[in-house]
Amino acid sequence: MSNERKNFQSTHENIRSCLIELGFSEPHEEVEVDSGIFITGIKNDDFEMPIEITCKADIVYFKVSSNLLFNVSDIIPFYRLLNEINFTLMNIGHFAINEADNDVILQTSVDLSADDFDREQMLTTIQRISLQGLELFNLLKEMFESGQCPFYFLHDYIEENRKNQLTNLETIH
Amino acid sequence: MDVNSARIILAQMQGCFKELNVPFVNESEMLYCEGFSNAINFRSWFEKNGNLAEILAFVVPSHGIIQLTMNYNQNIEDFDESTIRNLFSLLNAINKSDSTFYWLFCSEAAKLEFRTAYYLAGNRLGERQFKSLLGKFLNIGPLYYKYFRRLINYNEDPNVMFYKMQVELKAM
Repeated sequence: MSNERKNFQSTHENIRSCLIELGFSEPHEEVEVDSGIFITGIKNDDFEMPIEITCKADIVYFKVSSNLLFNVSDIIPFYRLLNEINFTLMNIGHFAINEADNDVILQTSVDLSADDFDREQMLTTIQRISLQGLELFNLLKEMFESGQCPFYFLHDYIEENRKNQLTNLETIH
Repeated sequence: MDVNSARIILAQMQGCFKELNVPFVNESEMLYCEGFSNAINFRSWFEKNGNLAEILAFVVPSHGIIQLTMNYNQNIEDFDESTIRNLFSLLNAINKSDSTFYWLFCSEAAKLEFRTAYYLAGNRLGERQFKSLLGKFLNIGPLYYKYFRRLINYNEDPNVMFYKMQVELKAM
């Protein structure tokens, strides 16, 4: 067995164990020659959020979809909206539009090329990307259903976040 | 993460910049930066293909993350609608295909920003992991930017630019 294949399999097994620890029961698995893929997700009352995790020897990719199929007449304001969200609200991932079906995806990765598998880093990354997806896909859904200008909606949300962060900062100091 | 741990990590990051021969100037503190309640950072710069970029390296204690940004001066609001559409189309194609790095247009600061961030487990920097990321960041950012410039200067098709970019990336 080549080292690369062995490494990817070890990462794959570690990811499976992280997913189980976080309560993602029975993720669907596909194993290819040089990579393994987990397909799992979170379902709430409003929508289902598929999460795809691809393990390679030296990197793990995370892709979260919304399945919300945003109906937009002009793509440019939508690009601008996601650009603003990526600029102001993201910490370890970013959004992009899949124009083929007007879906929004959230992506990040963890580089393993230089270090061993870090379980805490992986657990926190899976948790954060899932929570960010839930919160921000919900925000997008509310924006589009509200009929209000999405940018006003976003700025209110950012302002609220900012107040909370400043309150936290005052508490720390 | 407390501020003292953040300072230690920042110093380690500076050590990695030094090892890769990337210059930097000393840290500054930001009590509030966009999106984060507090962060400490240092500034660097990088020139490739005749384009100079400012690099900012952040440690964000409140989120337990480090972030790298590469900034090019660029006010997109001066362009006509068709160019803006093409620029966003190329930006989104990159952001869709790349899980690690992404681009932003910042109208207020008139800049095009290339960004990446990751979570630091146990409030410690894995220097080999960071150097690997920094090396890719410094190689890939200017390569992407070269195609943004071609699109701006010669009004080229974003799909063609994206395709050529992918070919060049694969050859790296």
